[in-house]
Amino acid sequence: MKKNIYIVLFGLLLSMGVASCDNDTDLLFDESAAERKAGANKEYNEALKFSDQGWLFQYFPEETQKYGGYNFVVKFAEKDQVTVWSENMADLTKPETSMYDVISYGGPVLTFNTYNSIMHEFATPSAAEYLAKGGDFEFLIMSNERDVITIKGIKTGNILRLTRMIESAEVYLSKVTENVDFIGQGSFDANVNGTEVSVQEMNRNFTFNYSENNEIISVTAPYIVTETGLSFYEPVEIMGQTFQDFTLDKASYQLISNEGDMKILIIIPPIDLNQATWYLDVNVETDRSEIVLAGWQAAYDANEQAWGEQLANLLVMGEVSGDYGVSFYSFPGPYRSHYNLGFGGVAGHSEYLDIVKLSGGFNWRWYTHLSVMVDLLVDNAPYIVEIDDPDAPMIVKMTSVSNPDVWFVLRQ
Amino acid sequence: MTKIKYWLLATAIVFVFGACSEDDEPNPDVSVINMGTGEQNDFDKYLEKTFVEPYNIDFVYKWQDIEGDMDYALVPASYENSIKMANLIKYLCLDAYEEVAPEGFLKKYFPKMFMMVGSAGFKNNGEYTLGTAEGGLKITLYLINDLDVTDVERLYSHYFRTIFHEFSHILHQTKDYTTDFDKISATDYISGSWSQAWRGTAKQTERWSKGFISDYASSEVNEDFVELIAHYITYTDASWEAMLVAAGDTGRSIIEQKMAIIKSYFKEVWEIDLDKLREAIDSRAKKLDEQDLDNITIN
Repeated sequence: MKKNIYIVLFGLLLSMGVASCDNDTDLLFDESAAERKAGANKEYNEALKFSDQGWLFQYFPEETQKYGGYNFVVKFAEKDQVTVWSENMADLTKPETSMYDVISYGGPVLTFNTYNSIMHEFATPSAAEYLAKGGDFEFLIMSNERDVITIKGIKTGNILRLTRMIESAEVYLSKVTENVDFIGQGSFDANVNGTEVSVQEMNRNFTFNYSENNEIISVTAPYIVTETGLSFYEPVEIMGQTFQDFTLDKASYQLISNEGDMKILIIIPPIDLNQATWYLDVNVETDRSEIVLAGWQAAYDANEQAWGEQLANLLVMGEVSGDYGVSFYSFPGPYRSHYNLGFGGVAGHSEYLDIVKLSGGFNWRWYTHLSVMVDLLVDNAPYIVEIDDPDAPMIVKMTSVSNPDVWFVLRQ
Repeated sequence: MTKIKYWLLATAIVFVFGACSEDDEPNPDVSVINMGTGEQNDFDKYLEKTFVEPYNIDFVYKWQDIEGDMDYALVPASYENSIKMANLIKYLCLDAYEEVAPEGFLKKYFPKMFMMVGSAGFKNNGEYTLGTAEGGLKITLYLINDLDVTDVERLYSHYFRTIFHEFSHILHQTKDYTTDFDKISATDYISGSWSQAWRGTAKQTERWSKGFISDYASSEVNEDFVELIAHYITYTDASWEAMLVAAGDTGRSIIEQKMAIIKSYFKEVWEIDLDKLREAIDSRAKKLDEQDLDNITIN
């Protein structure tokens, strides 16, 4: 028995001697893994630099893309320098230069590794936004197809594109901002294959609502404005059709889908309430109807009951501290609470203004009992608008189309 | 049979020791860590000459996520302000120690890595982190993009006390101070409650009267020790005296007892006169506006 064991052991040792330490294995590659990585990074770096006008960077911050997309132009140069423009810049002739690199971090990663106030706009935190707007500044390079480099945000996982620019950043971004302004002046209605679909828009996100088989379907599509119109972050299916890119037809105020059959109508309202801050004083008898006063009174009572506070008689609408919609003030404090509203036009009625609910805003979670007043404003929309001076509006009277007993006057 | 056993054993040993000798040694000139394609710019060369060669300090100003903290949203430091901070650390800290410390002291003990972060490390409650340290080796300085070189007090509170604090930890962890220090406030340390315990102006005075120079100093004895050092060397004579007056007789006596131990510790263990160090820092701070903090020219 023992002898057998030794024979086996000896056999094992012999096989170790013969089989182990075979240094003659052919290497699959001529270079080490580290050298190949460095080589790949260098190749990507050269590709990035190889574009006279730089690259269009269609950037979506935040993992759900809730802020929509923004256009940047990035131009890479020697000595790890990158110059950055964005559509948000006040002056497109003043780009900012900082540093970048292509490093290995679970794959080739493009990193904007010194601060650039333009490039890092959505990534810069503050006391109010401690996680910033969830913007990336490090991107895994997924593929390089000469004119398009696909990258993925390290934090968000958002798939983004760098597209070779064939004109200057200033020229391109000017065209984009012109479209941003054009699209931004209206509210929207959509028509898919001849069927009306309601559309709400907030922070460069469309929400399409329609019913299918007795089911109400809501589809959200983050978008970015382009030189020719706009593009959804990714293909979106609505009523069995897939949509992504739209062409803006300014003459007909329409965004027309490049694939499938969808038209998004841009409805220009009689007045853009978001351009100013408007006040409704319910104490002024000539500035509101009895029904509006009753709605405010109900909100006042609910507020007193909820917090023992007094609701101010002044409602603020339009643009309020950077928010859009309606704000209420509650004393003592005063505490502001805000509901985000969309003010839009109505197709075929140039004098109508529609008001739709978007979402609860600043402090709203504490003041949901004020909904009674928000409901009154929204449920009686649209309104016929009478403006004192269309060129420089200071007083706007709004009268409900469905119920003329609901009316109020907004003053700047 | 026994013979065979030994023979087998001997063969096995030969196999084990002789096995797999490699001819291709790793090439020490090729780093496997830095995989960037980055080239050395003028600032990199300046850092090499000013920080790496004399002190073996790695000054990291380009963002490296692997070194970042994933709990916060942070952004990189700006190139321009990183240059200013490098020069400030050299001028207000390294050179001040050089004036009073023995040869080789900094190279041996000073933290080995500085990392610059552009923003503060904001938390969801509005508070934010100014500086962090890992194992006394790496110091991360935040808010570099908001650097204001004209405000010395802010430079101390936002950046330099963190540096002096961490450096002092390295020193006492290398050679400990006398346990006499531990006894002075032994029953007054409040561990984790330090961040909540002293809110409001009245509480600040009460804290001084207990002999704690800062909120964090009240957490435990080692923090007390290093906080006193970091504050003492960044206070002027007048501001230190004003603090002692506010601390009242009890507070003054506690703080002075602690400072006496600290000063003798520095003198005996490190051959450093803490008052001279303080003078060096103060006189440098007074001439800060004469310094070219944007300089990256190698002399």
